[in-house]
Amino acid sequence: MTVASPVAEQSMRSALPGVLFLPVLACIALAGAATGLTTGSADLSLGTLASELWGAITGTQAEDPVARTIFLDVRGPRVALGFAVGASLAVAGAVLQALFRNPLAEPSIIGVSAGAGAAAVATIALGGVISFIGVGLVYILPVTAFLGGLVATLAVMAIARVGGQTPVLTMLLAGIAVTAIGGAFMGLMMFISNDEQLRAINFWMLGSLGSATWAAIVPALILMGLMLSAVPMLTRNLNLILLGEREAASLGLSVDRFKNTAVILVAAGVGAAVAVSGMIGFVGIVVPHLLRLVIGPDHRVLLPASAIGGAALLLWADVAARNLAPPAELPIGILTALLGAPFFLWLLRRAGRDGAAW
Amino acid sequence: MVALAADKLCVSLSGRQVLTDVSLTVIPSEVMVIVGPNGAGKSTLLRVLSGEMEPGQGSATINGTAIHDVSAAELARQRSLMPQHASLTFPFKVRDVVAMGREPFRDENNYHADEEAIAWSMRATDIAALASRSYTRLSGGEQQRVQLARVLAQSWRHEGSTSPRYLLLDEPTASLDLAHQHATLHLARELAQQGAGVVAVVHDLNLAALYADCVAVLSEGHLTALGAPEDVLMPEMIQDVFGLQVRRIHDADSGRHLVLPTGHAQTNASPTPRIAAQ
Repeated sequence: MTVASPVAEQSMRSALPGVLFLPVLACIALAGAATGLTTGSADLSLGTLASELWGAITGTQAEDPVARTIFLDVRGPRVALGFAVGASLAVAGAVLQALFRNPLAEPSIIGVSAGAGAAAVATIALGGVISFIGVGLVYILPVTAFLGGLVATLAVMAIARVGGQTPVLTMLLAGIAVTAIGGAFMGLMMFISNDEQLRAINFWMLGSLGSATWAAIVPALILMGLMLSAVPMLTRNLNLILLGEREAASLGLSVDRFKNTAVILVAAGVGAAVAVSGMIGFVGIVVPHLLRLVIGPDHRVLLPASAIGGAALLLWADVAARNLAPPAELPIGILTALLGAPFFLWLLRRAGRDGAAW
Repeated sequence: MVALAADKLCVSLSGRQVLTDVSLTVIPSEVMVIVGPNGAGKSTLLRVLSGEMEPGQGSATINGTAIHDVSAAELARQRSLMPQHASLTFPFKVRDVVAMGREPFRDENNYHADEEAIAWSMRATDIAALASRSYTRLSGGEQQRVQLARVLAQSWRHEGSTSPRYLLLDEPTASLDLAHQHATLHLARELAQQGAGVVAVVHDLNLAALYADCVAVLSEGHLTALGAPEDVLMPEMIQDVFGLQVRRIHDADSGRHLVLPTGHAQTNASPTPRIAAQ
């Protein structure tokens, strides 16, 4: 047992009741959205943003038509996408961590993203066949990515389970294996792709919010919205799962059915996110972790906080990606990996030192 | 019939016969203690009685209905289970863990009942002072008492309630200090007096002798003895089942018969344990 001072821990928790923390996160996210809308190749003022948004809502003529177009049609979809992808990835991470009862689970680490990415790449490479059927890639991609993510998650859950538990080691190894299979499959698909498809595929590898137009993201936004709105129904049962699967069952939870529902939701959220923004890693581990340190593991607060916190992180990361080296734009997936991977290593060291108790 | 009953249970796990022809009945207001050597099938029996595992042959019933025909949610309102090993590794506050015992009653939306159940359970297990501590920072014994409190909160009833309830406790005293071992079994007695049927797996035969209404002895999957402690806990049975020579002592104060080891243990599997050296 660690004998770290319970008093300090206690005072930190009670000083910041989780619910009161939500508005703080919301302000950070909103500031990120406002900065995302006003900065870029054309810097616009917050005043212009306020008046044009108000104008758009009330339906009055634009005072500055160019600014309004930039807000609504150029940067608007990008900010909306950043919000939805950040929220979905962070919530997916928190849910996976509860399902595996393991704080190191994360979509990009355990292979969910790789499964979704492989399916997405295959969809692009085989795009000729699909457009022949006559349904737009915009609608097909989120669905195939969802299915790919679902298969990968189920595979990892089955492989990593040892006697009713999912140890860190087998989970990470299963994730490595599934990610490798996904990577090999992506390589194969690139091998048979033409130049135009290769450029599109390259986008998955790096992750970016840059392709956002309303037409391209609406189907994925709907899927992510469905996932996020279903999350409140999961919160109490996720708490029970953390208690242990036997305990959860003895408290009346149909454990297998619940886990299947949760996995499908995670795959939907991650699949949709990957379909429109590519491989953006580590959001799902950094955000729930930092929040757990402050507000504790109760999912009734942790999940909404993760959604807002994930949105905030990705909105600010996108601002950084666009403004660090103008006019070039850094792929946001590289930024989150640069931030998240060292954080993950730190967690791994910590988990090793404290034993099972993270 | 109001009882938790096993009738001619047979269970095999990956080809090995774990329980053979086990029949017993737990009735409300009674404490049944299950004893037996390691690997005798005690935990498996609790798994079947809690509805977690389906028997291969025979039947397990709760108040006359086959346990597997009762929904998980309904079962949770009638019986609570404390597994042998708790696996919670996330830093919930102690009180939040205990409150999870009230989840089966979520739909009743009875705030006062929940609060009373939680407060009572924490007092009864002597953890009220730990309420806002983080579960992961407690000692093993303290964690075990928190889990017990959660189970108590689940089986808590309004005074005067007659709806039957059962508590299944798998080694609830395993990591407790002496005083808390007795407090736990004492609590089991108290709950039985309030109308609960309690089943507890315990290793200490004297705890069984002091607190049980009924002792069930499991050995290699067979129920070798079942009855009142003074009838069951005889030196010959203990020699046969545990390979341990004991003397029986009558304690005039409690009116109970206790057992005291006299010779070295003679287990078949391993060399004589070095009890004296410890």
